[in-house]
Amino acid sequence: MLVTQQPVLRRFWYSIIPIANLTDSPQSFRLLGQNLVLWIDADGKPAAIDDRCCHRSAQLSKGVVIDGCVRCPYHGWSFSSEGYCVNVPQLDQAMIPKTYRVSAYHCTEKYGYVWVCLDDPIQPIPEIAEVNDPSFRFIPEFYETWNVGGLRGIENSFDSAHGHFVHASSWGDQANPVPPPIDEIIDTPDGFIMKHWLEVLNPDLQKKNLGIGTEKTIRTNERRWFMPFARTLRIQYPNGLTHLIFTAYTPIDDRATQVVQFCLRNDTEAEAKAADIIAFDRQVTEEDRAVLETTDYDAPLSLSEEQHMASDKPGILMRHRLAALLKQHGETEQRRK
Amino acid sequence: MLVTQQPVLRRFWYPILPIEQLVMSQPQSFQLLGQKIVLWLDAEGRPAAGVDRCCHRSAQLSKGVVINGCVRCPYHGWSFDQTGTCVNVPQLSDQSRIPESYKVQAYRCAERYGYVWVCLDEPLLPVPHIPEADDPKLRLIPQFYERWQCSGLRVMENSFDNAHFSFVHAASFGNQAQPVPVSSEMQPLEFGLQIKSRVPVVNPPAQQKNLQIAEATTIRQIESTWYMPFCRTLKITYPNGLMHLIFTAATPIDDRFSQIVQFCIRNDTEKDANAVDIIAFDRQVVSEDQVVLESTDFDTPLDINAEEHMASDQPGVIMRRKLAALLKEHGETEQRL
Repeated sequence: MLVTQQPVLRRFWYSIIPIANLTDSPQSFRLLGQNLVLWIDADGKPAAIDDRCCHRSAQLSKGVVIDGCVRCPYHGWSFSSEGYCVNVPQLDQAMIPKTYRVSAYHCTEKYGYVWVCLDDPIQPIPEIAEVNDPSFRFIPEFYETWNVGGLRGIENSFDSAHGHFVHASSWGDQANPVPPPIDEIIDTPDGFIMKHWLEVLNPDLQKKNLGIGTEKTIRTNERRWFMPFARTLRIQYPNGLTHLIFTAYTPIDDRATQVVQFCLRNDTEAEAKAADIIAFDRQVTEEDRAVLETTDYDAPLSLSEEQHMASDKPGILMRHRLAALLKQHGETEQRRK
Repeated sequence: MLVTQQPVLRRFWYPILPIEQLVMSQPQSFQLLGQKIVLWLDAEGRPAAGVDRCCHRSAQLSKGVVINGCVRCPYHGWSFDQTGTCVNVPQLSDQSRIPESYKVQAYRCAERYGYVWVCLDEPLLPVPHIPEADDPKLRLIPQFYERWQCSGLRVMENSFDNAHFSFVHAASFGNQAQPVPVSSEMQPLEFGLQIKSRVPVVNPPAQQKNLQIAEATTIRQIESTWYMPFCRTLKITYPNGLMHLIFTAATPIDDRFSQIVQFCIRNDTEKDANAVDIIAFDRQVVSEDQVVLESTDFDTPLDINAEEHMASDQPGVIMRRKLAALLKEHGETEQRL
């Protein structure tokens, strides 16, 4: 599926950039092949419009923000968060033609990130209850570009059979490569919830991070898929510790993905340092990245094109749901020629 | 407009390479309008140009050597003269029996102003005539030879755009406090355009030295000439009589890239102003333009409706109309992505 060629994917919210990155200057981001400029408007709210001036096509993100409007670096035309041209230094301001405008997009802040939707949203931004729970702390983890298709990223997150190999250096137990069966999969309006458990190795760094001294431990996982490319993974350890990870594989274009990840924990900095928690998740994430970046970005929704096994069920369900979504919106799956 | 898809553009001369880059034994390669060409010095010491592919097994001739004024293919040693005729095949015992079909396409090639110029088809016009270049009282200073990720039309219209100084050149000579551009006198030419205007500019310390004008502001008397499709001269005369004439070409490499070729001609001496200092100031100005021009869409539309305009865009609008008329006259329509 070529994400840039499926218009319905423009109707989801995607986490784009940490809001703190917009403090000093406008920023650019490519979402589903569309170049955006992002900045903070006069009300202190994030704004997103096309990153091309309607005059001579210069990138607005190379300009500056003045009075909450983004000013083009070429001739100084300024645009509001609605994409209206509000200042043309070469003109009497009352005479700015209505055609001087660029497309604006839905844009808001949540969880410390700027979220954008390129068309009418069909789902709200994923709700993560623990964010509002004062017994949880919030730790930003990763923000980086991977050369991988979004579906490859998201199905990896629900695959209980790869850890034994890909994560053999961190937590995977290669001696026991058969994953236990999935307990339950519950469909939701915006994806599904998958429940399962897994016995994992507990290396020294994790002994410290988890406050668990044994060589192995059990993870009780609740994984939630938010269509199309975001998830939460709620890991429950036997001692009551919860490590909840949010990951978005925000689609930059057909070949590249922006990985946005943060975690929520019900322990304290005194119990486990955020730096150590990030260090372990860094290792795990790098292990995934190394293998995912070798895959074909044009991941097929059709099942007949690849081989499958029982533990692939979440990825298969994703393909079915995405294929149904396309059909419902009158689209067919677009592939590379 | 996609320059590689408009055959009439092959009928203009373009500066390709400083002549001193062609040393006796070493051929050079250049891509012009998407066509890869080999350049070398023939037996008379004149520049020659041909298709950079041997007609035998398609090797690049520019990876070979020049022997007796002919370029010799690195693969089997076939040699070609400046007309593209194969004059030596080492594997044939009788050189008089070289088949006539052993040849590569040769192109018109000439030296002017210290540069090699090439035309890929029957020329519509001679190489732009710059009388100041032949005046022995004036000095010619080669300035820039570099590849930009930008279309030629964007560079040309930028050269005639009085409204961008206040923003793009705010750090060098632009006056941001006066963004409304001065009007200019415009005269369309058969194959170009001439503009005269009087532009008040900031005169920073580096320029005070270069111009021998001590004031913090000065006036530029400007005469700009556009030579279709992608050359221009900008003749600046300062109140003290100093002339600074800039020639700039945006030679079209392919649809996305241009080779910037720039030199200047002055009526002062090295004692009055060091060439190094003159280049340093123009470097700053040109780099300011490069940053913004490289952010523009290379597929620059000739269709006026495809972008927004203001009064000071008139030269660029005329360029679009003249180029559209040129295409029409030669039975072409504008090719876009």
